[in-house]
Amino acid sequence: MAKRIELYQEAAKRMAISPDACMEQIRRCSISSKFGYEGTDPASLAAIVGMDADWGAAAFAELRSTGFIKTDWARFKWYQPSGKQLDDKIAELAAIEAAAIIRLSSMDCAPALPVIRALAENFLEEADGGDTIGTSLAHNRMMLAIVSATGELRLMEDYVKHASLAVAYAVAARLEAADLEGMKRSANVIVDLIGTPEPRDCAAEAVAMRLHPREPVIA
Amino acid sequence: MANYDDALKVMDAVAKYREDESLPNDPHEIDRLCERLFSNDGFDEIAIAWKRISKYEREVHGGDWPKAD
Repeated sequence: MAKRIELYQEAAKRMAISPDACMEQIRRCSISSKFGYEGTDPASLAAIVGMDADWGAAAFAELRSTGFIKTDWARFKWYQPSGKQLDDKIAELAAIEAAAIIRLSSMDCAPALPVIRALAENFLEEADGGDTIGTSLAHNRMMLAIVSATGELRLMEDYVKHASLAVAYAVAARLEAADLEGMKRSANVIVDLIGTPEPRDCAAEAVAMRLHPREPVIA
Repeated sequence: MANYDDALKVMDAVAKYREDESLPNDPHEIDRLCERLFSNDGFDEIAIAWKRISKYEREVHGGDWPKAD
């Protein structure tokens, strides 16, 4: 249990906009495919934003652990998913989230509900603000809490692996205002139904938030 | 730079193993580097790749790395 909570806290903490402006610039350039398919290393990373070697080393480690830099055979390259690759990743996230919601319906998840509701509120605020990256990150934080509430360590480990910060940024790059409106309606249904014995509609809205965000199922 | 250097060595070991199943001269050292990478990130993808190779190879060699010739 301690490991799951530690994992949740670590993953939730990462799911945020960086306080370091250079790091944030690198993240956004990475997701908008500005770096092409060249390999990368700490020195070239530091050179991009005119920082020193220590910054480059720390930033490189952080970008690897947040999924922006991937390993490709024997080199490091930027995470730049094709449309199909991102579709597949989103489908994997939706499947895990729906499974977690169904699982929660048959267990006592009351202790987790206040946190889930608070994160849903935070999601609604971010979506109201209209910032797609902030909304995508808040969506992931809410879903992390839902998956964590199942108490299933393996499920949580799989989810954290798929729901990287880089994936949240890549998803954000696709979102438009109509998507945010649909997601808000879905999120309200999720908050009402999570943990009840009627999980199907709740799971369907969670899937809608990922696969067809502007078209909620029942909301 | 320690994290990058560690990751580079582990990545090289993984790439060579995938190419022709060859093992590094000191696989224990790669195991140690992986532990350091895990201490920074419990989901380090290259450390996970090596951990799987390490587990398999040690298992088929009776529980430990084969002795160097």
